[in-house]
Amino acid sequence: MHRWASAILLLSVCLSGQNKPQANYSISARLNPTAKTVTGRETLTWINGSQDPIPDLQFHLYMNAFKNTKSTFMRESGGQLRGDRFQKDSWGYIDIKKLAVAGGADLTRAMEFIAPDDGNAEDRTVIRVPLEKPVPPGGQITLEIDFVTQFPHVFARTGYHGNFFLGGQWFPKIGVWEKAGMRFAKTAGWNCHQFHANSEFYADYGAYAVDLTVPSEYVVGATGIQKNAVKNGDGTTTYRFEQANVHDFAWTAQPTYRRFTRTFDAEREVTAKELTDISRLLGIPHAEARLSNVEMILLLQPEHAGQAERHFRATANAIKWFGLWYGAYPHATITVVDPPNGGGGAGGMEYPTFITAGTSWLQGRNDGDPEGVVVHEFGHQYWQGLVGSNEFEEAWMDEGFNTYSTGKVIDRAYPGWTLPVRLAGIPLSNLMRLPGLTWESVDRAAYLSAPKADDLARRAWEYQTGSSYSLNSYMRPGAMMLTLENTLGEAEMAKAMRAYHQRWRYDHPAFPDFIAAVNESTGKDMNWFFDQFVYSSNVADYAVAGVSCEPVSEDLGVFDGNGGRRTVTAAEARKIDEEREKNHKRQWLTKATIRREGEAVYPVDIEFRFENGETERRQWDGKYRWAKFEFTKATKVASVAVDPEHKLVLDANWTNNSWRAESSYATAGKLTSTVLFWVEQVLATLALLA
Amino acid sequence: MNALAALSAGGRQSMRLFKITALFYAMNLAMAAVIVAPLAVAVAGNLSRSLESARLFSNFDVGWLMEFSYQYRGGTAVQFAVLTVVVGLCSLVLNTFLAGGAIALFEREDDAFFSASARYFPRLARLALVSLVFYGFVAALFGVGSRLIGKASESSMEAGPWIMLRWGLIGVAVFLAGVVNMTFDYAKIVLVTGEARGAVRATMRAAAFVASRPARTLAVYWICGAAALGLLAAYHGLSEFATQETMTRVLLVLVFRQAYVLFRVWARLWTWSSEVHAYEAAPLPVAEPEPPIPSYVDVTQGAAADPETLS
Repeated sequence: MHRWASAILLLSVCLSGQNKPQANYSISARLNPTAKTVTGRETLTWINGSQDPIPDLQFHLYMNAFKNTKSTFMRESGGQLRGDRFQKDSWGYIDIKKLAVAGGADLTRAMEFIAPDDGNAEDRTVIRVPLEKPVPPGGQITLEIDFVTQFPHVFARTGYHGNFFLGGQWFPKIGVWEKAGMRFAKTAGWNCHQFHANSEFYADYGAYAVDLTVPSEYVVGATGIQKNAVKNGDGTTTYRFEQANVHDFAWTAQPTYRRFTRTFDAEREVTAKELTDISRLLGIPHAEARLSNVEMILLLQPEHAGQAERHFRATANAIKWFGLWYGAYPHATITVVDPPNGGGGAGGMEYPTFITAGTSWLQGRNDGDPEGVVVHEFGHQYWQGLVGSNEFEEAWMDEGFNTYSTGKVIDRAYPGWTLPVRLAGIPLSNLMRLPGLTWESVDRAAYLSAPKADDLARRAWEYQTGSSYSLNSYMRPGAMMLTLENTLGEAEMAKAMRAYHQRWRYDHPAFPDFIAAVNESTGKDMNWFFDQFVYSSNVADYAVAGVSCEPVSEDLGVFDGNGGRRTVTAAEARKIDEEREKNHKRQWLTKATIRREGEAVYPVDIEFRFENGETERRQWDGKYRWAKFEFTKATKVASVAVDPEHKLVLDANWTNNSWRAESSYATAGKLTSTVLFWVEQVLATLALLA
Repeated sequence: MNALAALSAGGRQSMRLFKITALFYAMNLAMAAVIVAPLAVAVAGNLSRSLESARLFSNFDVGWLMEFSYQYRGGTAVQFAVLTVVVGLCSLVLNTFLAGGAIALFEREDDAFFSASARYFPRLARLALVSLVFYGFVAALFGVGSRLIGKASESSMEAGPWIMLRWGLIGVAVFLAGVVNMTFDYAKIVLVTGEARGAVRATMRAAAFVASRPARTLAVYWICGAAALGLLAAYHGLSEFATQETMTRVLLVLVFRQAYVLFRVWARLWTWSSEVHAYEAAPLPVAEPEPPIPSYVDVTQGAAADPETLS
C-alpha cells in the first residue's frame, strides 16, 4: 500500500470519530496455490492509546499452532477440533523474515517466543519484540514485517483444500495493550494469549487495506470492500480490499466459486409496522431504529448454487433483526462463504464483514441449516465484530450472547425448524416428521446434558473439557440470557441489550460492564442473578414437594366466648360437618410445600388453581430450602405450580415444578405407544436374521 | 410353478394359517413390551402428577427428554441398555424357534406347530449361526466400500457424486443381504424337508437351488420385499393424518400402528410360504441321502453283532 493511501485511510478512520483506531494494517500478499503459501509484507501502524510508555510489543502468530504436535493448540486438541481432524503432514506455520521499525531499527533478531498462559516453551504462537525505545503515551510506531505463511490442510478455521483457500489468522497480529482498569485489569500489560484449542480471538480495532495477488482464474472474497482488481499481465490479478473499524481480516479464494450478490434494501425489508413496533419496544425514535442498505455477497460451491436464495434470506433476516434490536449494521458489505466438501473445518466462522457458513448437498426444507449457521455467524458481527469481546477470557460474551440472539432471529423467522437428520446424505427430518424445535428447548436440552460441569465464567482453555467449553460458551449462556429476559421482561431486556451494544461498540467490555449496563438500563440491581448463574455452577431446581387437601372439621373441646363456655363433642362436630357437607358449605384446607432442591436461588411465583376455577398466586424469594403455603377455601385444590411460566429456563427439572390432583396418563400413553411401535420395528427387523 | 403362482399360493396359505402370523406378532409385541414396560412406568411416574404432562401432550419438548435422561442417568440407563440387548437376543432365539414350526406347517399343514418348532430348533439355530458369517461378509463389504468412498470423498471438493456412489453401495449391500437372507430361507426349507441335516450342507443345497433358479427365487423374494416396502410407504402416507391430539386419537393411532406391525409380520410369513411353494414345485434332484442319525444306540443289538464289545 502506498504511504499516502495509508495515511488517508488512517485519517478517515480518525475523523469518523466512531472508535479509537489502535492497529492499522496495510498488507501486500501473494498466494502461491501450488506451495499453499502466502508471502506478505505488512505495514502496521500501532497507536499507544494509554498513558503508559510501552517498552515492547507482542504479536500473535496463530498459524504456528499447526506447526507441530508440541504446540499448545495441538496438545490441547489432540489434532481434533469442531468435528474435524488435523491432516498429518500438512503442517501450517508462519515465518517472520524481517521485522523492523519503519525507517529504523531491524528488530528481527530481538524477537522471542513467549508462552504467557501455560509456559509451554515449544509453543510458537506469541512473540515478544523489545523496542529500542518505548512507545510514548499517545505516540505511535510503524513496523514493517515480511512474512511467509504456510497453510495447513483446512483445520480449525483456516487452510486449503484442493484449490480452496481460507485465509484466517494468516498474518502477524499485534496483541491488545490493556491499560490498568481496562476490562478491570489490575495492572497494565499486553493481553496476548497463546492460541488454544478452545478459544477464538481478541484484537484491537483499526483500518485494513490489503492487496491480495492470486492467479487470475481464482474468485476472491475478503473482509471489507473490494476497491479494485488489477490484472498484472503475468496470469495473476491483484485485488484490493479496504475496511475501517474492524479488528481482523480474512479472505478466501477458489476458482470455481459461484458468486452471487444482492442488496439488502432496508426500506423494503423492514415494514413500517416493524419499525414502529421496535421503536416502541426500545423507546427510540424511528430514525434511530432505521437500518442501512448492505451488499450481500455469497461465494457458494457450484453444487450448492441452488441454495443461494436460502443463504440470501437468512443473511437478510439476520441483518434486519440484529439491526433493529441492537443498532444498524454499519458496514457496506457482508460476505458469506460456503466451504467445499472436505473443507468443513473452515466453516461456521466469523470475521469482520466476512463469515463462513456450510451446508449440505441435499438440504431438508425445514432443516435448521444453512439458516442457523448463517444467522449465527452473522450475529458475531455484533458480539465479536462490533463489540470486541475477549474470546480468550470471556468466550460466552460472544458465543453465548450470540446463541441467545440467534435463537430469537431463528424462532421468529423460521418457526418449526428441525434438526437436520440425514442418512447417506438424504435429509430425513421431514420424512420422519420430527417435531419442530425452538432455540430455547435446544439450549436447555444441551445445558441439561452437564449442568454442573463448570462455572460459566472461565477462561476458554480452562474449562474441564472441550464439551464443557462448548456448553458453557454457547448453550448455557444462551439459556441464562433467556432466563434474564424472562426475569426482566422483553422490553427491559431489549433496552438493556441495545444500551450495552451501543455503549461498547468498537470497544472491549468485560462481563462486569455488561452487568453495569443491565443495572443501569433497568434501574435494578441484578448482581444476584449473575452471581447465581454466571459466577457459579449452581443448579436451579424448584419443586412442589407435597400437597394435601383435607376437609376442615369443626373444632372439638371446650371454648370460652362472650356467650359463656361451650363444649363441642365429637358427635356434635360430626353433625355440624355433615350439615355443612349437605349444604355444600364444607371448607377445605390446602397445604403445599415448595422446596428448593438445587443450590441456585431465584425468586419464584407459585400458582394455586382450585376446582372452582379460582387461582391464587404467591411469590417466594426462593432462598430458604422450603416454604409452606396454606389456603382454606370452599373448594379443593386442582393444581400447584412453581414458576408456572417457566421463567427459570435453567431449572434442571420442570416436571417436578407442578402437581395436579388428578393423575393423567395420556402423555405417558402417547409416548409409550410411539416407543413401543419403534421397538417392535427394530425387533421385527432383527427377526430377519432368524 | 412360476413366481407369481408361488406368491399366490403362499398368500392364500399364509392367510389360511393366519394364526401363525398372530403368534409371531404376539411374540414380537410381548418382547417389545418387556423393553418398553420399565420405560412406560418411569415416564408415567415422572409425568402423571405433573402439569408438564399436558404441555408435552400437545408439544413434545426435547428439553423434557434431556431432563428425563438426566434423572435416570448412570446405573438405571445401563440396566435398561442391558435389558434391551438381552431381550433382543431372546427375540432372535424365539423367532428361530418359531420359524421351524412355521415352515413345517407351510410344508405340511397337518404338522403340529410347537412340536415341529422344537424338532427343528437345534438345526435352525446352527443355521442362524452359519448365516451370521455371510451377513458379516456383506457388512464387511459395505464397511470397506463405505470407508473407501469416505476416503476418496475427503479429498474431493464435491459431496454430490460421492453421496450418489454411497447410494449405489447401499443398494448393492441391501441386494446382497437380501440374497443371503433368501438363500438362508431356502436353507431352512431344506432342513425342514429333511433333505439335509447339517447347516452347511443345507446352505450349499439352498445356494445351489437359488443359483439354478435365480429368476424365480429372486422374483418371489423381492416381490414380497417390494410389498413390504409398499406397506411401509402406505403406512407412512397414512400416518400423516394420524395425529394424536386427543386420547381417542392416541388409541386409534396405537391400533393403526399395531395393524401395520401385524401386516409386516405377515409379509415375512407370506415370503416363507411362497418360498416353500417355489421350492416344492421344482426341487433339486434328491441328493445322496445322509446317513440317519440314530436317536439312540441299541446296545444289546450292537453287542450281539460285535462280540468284541463284550470283551
